[in-house]
Amino acid sequence: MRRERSIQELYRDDPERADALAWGRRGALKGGALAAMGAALGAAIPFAGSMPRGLLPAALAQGGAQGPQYIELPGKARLILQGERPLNAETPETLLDDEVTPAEKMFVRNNGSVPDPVPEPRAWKIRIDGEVNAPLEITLGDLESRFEVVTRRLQMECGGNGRAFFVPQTRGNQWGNGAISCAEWTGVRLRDLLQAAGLKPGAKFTGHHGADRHLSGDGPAISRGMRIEKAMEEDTLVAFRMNGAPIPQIHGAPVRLIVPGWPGSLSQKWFTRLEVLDKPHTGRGMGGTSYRIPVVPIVPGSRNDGADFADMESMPVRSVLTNLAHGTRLPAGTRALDLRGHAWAGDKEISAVHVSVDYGATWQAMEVKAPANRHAWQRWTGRVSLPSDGYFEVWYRATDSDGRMQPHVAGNWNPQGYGANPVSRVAILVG
Amino acid sequence: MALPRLLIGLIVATVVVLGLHRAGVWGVRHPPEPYPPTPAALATARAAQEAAAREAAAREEAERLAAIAQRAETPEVLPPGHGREETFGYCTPCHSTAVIRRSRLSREQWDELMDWMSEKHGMNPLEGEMREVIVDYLAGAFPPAQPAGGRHGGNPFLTD
Repeated sequence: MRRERSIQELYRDDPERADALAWGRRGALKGGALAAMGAALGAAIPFAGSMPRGLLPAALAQGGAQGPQYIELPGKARLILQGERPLNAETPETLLDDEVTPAEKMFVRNNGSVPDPVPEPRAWKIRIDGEVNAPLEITLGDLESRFEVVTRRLQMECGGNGRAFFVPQTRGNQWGNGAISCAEWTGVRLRDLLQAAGLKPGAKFTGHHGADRHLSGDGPAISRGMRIEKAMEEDTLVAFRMNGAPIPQIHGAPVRLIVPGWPGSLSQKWFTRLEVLDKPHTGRGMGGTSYRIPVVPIVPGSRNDGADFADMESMPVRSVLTNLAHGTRLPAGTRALDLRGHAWAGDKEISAVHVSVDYGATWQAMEVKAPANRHAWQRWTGRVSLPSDGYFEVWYRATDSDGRMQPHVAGNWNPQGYGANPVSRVAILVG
Repeated sequence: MALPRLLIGLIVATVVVLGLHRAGVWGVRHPPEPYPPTPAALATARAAQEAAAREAAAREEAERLAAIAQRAETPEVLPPGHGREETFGYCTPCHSTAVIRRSRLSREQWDELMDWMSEKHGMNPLEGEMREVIVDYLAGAFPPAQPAGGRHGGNPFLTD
């Protein structure tokens, strides 16, 4: 305990000196420092030689005196608490193993209050107006009979997923990788509604509106918009069923948008109205540093009003490991690990997933399945071998169809923390 | 001669008694069986029942969610320090303290956050001495820290 504290404190107070002390000139643990680190972790570190400079072992980096805080919500699995008001909760990676995310394991993201349920969902009205030839107002009941109903498996991910990986930390909910879901959504295509209303030549952007109110009591909780091209995509839905059942109240009943692969805030819950616009929407959550990332990278931690940033669109490549929890202790003599998880990359597909158990010195390719349909996440599976007992870190990294990999550290730092997708690390102990 | 007549009389009497019983004049009266409901009536009843159940479930869910959102907090949930009460009072009308307690920001970032809260989230602009007190408190209580590595909890292999 004493030694563990000293290493953590050293890193907290003076990371450079701690690094120098722990790693030595050649960037490798050696002698007494290696012994001390091993003792701190309670095990030998078999791949100490290839541990990169400047990275604390995952087991130490998880830090903070407080353990994880969980929340028990009605109809939900045990999720990681992000906040009670507004209500936000993250799904632990090990609960994301299902091909199709069940309602109880879907992360919870709210910007305001959860509206009261309505007694007659079929009477709920939605409206399409703005730059259209004939504004369309239609009840949920009519929607289902007037337009083609489709069912798709679609990823829905919070724009801030991975925020906790940024250094220095940024404001907002400190999501790990668990603000992701891939449920089976049933609804009608937004483009069918837009075509029914008839787009005018000036139709370039959308503005989304829902029934949830901001917690200050002043105005809507959130109102975001996107380029019309995304609204016209095949997989952008006005959804009224999730996994074959009515959408749970907390996830936007009775009807919501699903804009797969783009920040979840576009997938307006408790959906009431979509404005078609000739210029970018200006609702709450648009402009400045909100859901926007630097075009020209800025100094991490610096102040910036985001005027030159660009709206975040397709989410970056990311992976989760779903069958091995951080902190798992395995029996002595364990020499192989069967691993599995999911990977996804916004509008793109996954071309590869690699795993390393030696701090990135060598990587092993995993098997990656094709997605159930476009915008569904992809299953990866594989086996890695371990040379001995001791402390290991399982690093996992996905590559998208453009060849872009999850980087080793979260890049393109921005004040509100969007787009952090570094290689993830899970600490295990064999023996 | 008398026997056949008696037999016929008995048969007639039995028929009359059974007939009266069947007609409801005799014995226990049963109300006539109602007509079976039509498929449409069955479907309507089932839909109404399901709608009521859905509504009840949704209401119950909303109430439980509201109870979680309204979970009472007191300033003591924040670490002690000068400015704790002011910070609690200014921030918690809109959001619970969880997001504050998970934050590790520099003084400059905390200061910037006050403007952002006013511009984007309708917080009363925070100026002067009150701003100093609150930003100083936040910067002191929640300073930058080593990254949590995106995960939660301490070293899983050190339990003593």
